[in-house]
Amino acid sequence: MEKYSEIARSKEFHKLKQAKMLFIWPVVILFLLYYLSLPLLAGYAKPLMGSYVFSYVTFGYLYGVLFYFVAWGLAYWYVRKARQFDHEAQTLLSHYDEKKGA
Amino acid sequence: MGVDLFGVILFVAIVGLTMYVTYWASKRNKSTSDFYTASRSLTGWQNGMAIAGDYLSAASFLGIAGLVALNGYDGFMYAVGWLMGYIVVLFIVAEPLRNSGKYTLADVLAYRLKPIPVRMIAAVVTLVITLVYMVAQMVGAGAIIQLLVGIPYELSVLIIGALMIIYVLFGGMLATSWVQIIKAVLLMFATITMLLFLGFLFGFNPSKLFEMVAVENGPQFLQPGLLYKNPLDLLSLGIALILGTAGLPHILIRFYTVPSAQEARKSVIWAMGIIGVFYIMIAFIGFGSSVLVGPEVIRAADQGGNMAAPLLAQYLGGGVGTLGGEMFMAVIAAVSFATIVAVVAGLVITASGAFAHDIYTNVIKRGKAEEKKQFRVARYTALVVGAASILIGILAKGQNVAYLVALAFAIAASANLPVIIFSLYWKRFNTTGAVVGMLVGLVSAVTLVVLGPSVMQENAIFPLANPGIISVPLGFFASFLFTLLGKPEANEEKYEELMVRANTGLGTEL
Repeated sequence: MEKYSEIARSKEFHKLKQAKMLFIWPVVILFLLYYLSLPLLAGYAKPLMGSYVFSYVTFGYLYGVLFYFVAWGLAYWYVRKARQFDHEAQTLLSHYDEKKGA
Repeated sequence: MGVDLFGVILFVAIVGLTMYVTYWASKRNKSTSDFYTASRSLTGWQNGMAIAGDYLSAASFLGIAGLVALNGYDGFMYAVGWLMGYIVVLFIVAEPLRNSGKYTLADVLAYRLKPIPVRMIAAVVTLVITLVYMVAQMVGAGAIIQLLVGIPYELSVLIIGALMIIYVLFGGMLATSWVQIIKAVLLMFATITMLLFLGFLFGFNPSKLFEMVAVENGPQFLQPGLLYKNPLDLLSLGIALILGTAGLPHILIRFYTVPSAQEARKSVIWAMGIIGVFYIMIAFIGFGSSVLVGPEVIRAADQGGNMAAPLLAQYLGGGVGTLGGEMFMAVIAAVSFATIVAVVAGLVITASGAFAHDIYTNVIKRGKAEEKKQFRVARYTALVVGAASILIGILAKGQNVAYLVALAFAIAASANLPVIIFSLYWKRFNTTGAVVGMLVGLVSAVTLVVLGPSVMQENAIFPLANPGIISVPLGFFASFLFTLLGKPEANEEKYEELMVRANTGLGTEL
């Protein structure tokens, strides 16, 4: 369809896409590297992972549980950002609907 | 006597409820779109719970509790990876997939690439992943039901297989989704109840539980190293888990059951909440079982540790031979049963889509099959896939299949994820890259497992149990290299259309 190409080549769409890419890729790549630190620490830093932080709670346990909260935190951040992208996409589409008189 | 009756009532109640749901859904299962996607009628929270129900298999519930109970910290660490893959699902895959596909994963890949070869290979990869996952579920299920309920292995496999066929054949995706939702509720309810009992014993103080773990089983239980001797093995598994989730076909097709990208997003959020809470809790169940039941008793009941959670329930209910203990154990057995049927039903519908929609409708019939015919073929396929699964489950009796779930993740990460990412985000990507990339990912993951310690034991040529560390980069590299070597697609309009659909939701399947 022509409309798709017209939108795809527009400045607004380009900006929206770029903003998305600049948000999702750095977060995902950093998160992957961060996650891989868990098996690496477990493999090569056993004394640190086994050390007690308070009473019988080890550093390794806290480090592991932290991942759940980081994942939930990132999910929350994503939802907030995505709402903003939704809004921009809607504006962009309505702009093209008007132009076509549809 | 009383306890047996209680167990039977629970079992009948779960089967009755799911049958009722299937009956209700069957009246709304009239077209191909109903069958594959429940007419995209699910809300975000419903789909989120169904994703959790699809994802949390018996291997998670019974298997990870056992891993923690027998290996302490390493089991806990293993559990962490299972939620983390959802970040990749949420950020990169869920919304564009929902916006650009129709029924299967191949829909997205075929959007701007040559549909016939891409669909064919994508369907084969989906069928292999589903089969591998299915065998793991069926063999595990047969053994677990035999252990928990005392009915013979073959009969357990037959009952589970018959139920999943009925759900899928008559109720399609709607019934499958609700079976998964019911299962997610039951599983969470059972786990929370066990955790509450455990909490009263330890004053809701994790440190006290860990202290008992260290006293009873030694401080090494709180440290890494009991299960994974080779750090690279763990790293390899981690790569497969975190990148594999976003390539699992039975999880990805769930995003077609919601009406929009916004609902798809909500469903990931719901799923992440449930799945994360579940894995945090199941680690406590495992640690609790290692203290209260003890590794020797757990191992004596089942070498793999699958009885850690049921035996803990028995202890918390009052102990062996008490009414409370046996009843609590019966509840766990019933929940495990619900867990298994929900997962296998999701696998059957996934395999049907890959064969009926991708291979039959779009490759053999070149997209020109009548709607009625498509619907019929989809259901026949479900019947054949279900029957084949029962047969394979019975033939594979007694095989050690625990490694198969990890293999399914490794294939998903090596063969599916690279081409999903490239086709959604890389303009230059082409058919050659997709076909060769999927083949290389699939073949390398399977070959490395066959050459590895899971299959060849001490004669292993490849030292790691999980192939991810080699096969995932290979899959990405092959897709990349063969894209550059292959011919460009020369259909820029299609790519522009895909981009606009993926990013704005314009023109998505309703």
